[in-house]
Amino acid sequence: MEFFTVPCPGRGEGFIDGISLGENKSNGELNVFQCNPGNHYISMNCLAGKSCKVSKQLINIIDTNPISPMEVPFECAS
Amino acid sequence: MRILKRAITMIILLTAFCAAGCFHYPENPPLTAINTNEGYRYSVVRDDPDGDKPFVLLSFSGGGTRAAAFAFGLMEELRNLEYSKPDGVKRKLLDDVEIISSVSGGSFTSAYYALFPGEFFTKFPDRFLYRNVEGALLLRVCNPYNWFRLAYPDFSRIDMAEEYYNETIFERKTFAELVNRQRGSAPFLVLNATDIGITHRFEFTQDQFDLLCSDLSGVRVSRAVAASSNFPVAFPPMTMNINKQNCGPLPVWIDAAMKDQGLNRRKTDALAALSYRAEGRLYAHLLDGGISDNLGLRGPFQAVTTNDSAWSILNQINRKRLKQLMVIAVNAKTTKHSDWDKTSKPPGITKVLGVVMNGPMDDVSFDSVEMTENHFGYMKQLSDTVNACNNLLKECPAVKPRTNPITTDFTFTELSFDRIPDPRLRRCLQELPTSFYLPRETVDLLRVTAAQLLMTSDSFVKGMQELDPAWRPRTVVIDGKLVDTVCGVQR
Repeated sequence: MEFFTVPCPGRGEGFIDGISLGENKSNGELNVFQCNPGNHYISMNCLAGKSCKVSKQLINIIDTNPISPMEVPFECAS
Repeated sequence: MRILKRAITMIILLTAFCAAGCFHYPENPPLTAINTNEGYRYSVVRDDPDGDKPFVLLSFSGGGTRAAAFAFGLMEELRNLEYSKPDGVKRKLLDDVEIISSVSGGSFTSAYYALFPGEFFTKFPDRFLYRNVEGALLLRVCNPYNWFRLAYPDFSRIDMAEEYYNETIFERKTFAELVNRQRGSAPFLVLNATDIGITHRFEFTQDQFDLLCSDLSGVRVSRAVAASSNFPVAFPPMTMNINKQNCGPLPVWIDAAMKDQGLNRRKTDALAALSYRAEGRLYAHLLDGGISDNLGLRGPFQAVTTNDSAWSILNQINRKRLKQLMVIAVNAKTTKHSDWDKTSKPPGITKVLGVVMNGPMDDVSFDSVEMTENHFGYMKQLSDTVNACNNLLKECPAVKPRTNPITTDFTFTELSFDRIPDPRLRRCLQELPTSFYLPRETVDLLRVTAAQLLMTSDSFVKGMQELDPAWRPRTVVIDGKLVDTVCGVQR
């Protein structure tokens, strides 16, 4: 099992291979998501009227653990 | 002379009738455009899981009537089993069953329950368990009318068997029946067969049929059950049409998986999915689901461990919709005891064929159980590690503890004859044949044995007590006379 987060300065809804993961944060803290090892298309739908600079990234998620999840960062621009 | 004329007229009429395509397997209808909000999919027929309830997933193995009766025994016990929710309200565990994944004989039980949940416990035993299905199928083969039909290349013994299941058990229902009923009124049914063109699991869900550009709603449930229980050699493979119009894109994970380095299970699954869109692949030929997975556990395993499954449970975990996952696998595997090794004479061809058929299947089943148990153990270990780390961090107040992302408890229970403590009963059930007919007493013994195994399973009791600390298993007593009748009187 692999672990990752989708940080961005604001709030956003994360997606893995087109499937919603829910909001990237809960109570201001990043949610840690789980996935199977390998390549995944991670995308973000920025909330609060913002849009992502890069909407989709192909990331090879491997060798993670629940204490140090991989960060797949996004930038939300107005 | 008049009789001869009538016979000739009949033959001409039948031939003309058949030229119009009457003796042909029922074709699965084409699908013009994929719509993920329609069709027989988990997300369409079930509500989002409620984290306050356990998410119960059942898998029913193959093994003819033996497997169907053993699975029925589990369902009866789940119906009787009540627990108290934290607010004190009583609830039946049967109502928490979200998904049933099944193979071969187990598919008769799961499909009947999904189609007729209201009458399942009263009608299914007479409709299937106590019925001599094997005898009825043999009678159909002996009917001269069917010889004529079987002479046609697009109609085979499996289509004939399916007609019987359709008429006598499943009341001509199609998957549309399962789609159009009230959401959440029955668990999501996953009937598994094997696509022998690619030696891969083939499930009767709309997500699978999207790959074939076909509409599962127009397929009879009995065809799925027949494919799932399509025992090799006894029956020929069942044919499904692969439609070649472009009905829509493939799921995104397939493209991502194809970019993985090397060849792994995920990429093999992606290649299998891609094969349905390959030019020149016009048909899929299906045999018993037991060839690829005789427990019905591979689909659930993929759903729990990957985001790739169309009914991914991991995706529900990411949405924090699952606090407790309970998987109960009904494994009706037999173990034949032989005394071949007492003599120099090698076993005969029938016995060797039995080993060739069952040996690899049993090995895969063993691995499936172990993989599932290991995964659940691994997740608990990871969770314990995060908690242990946070305990150590208590000595460093300046460091913020990590939130444990593993918030789901996993329980895995396997019901199998190998786990029966009484050696006589264990051996007796392990020696049962695989057929579509068993004496009534044998069916009854299998039912009560499933109940006893569930109530004495340590993992199940532990899982139930996590749900309701006051819950206690009931004592299930197996009638000694019933055991004597089925297994012979003990000397």
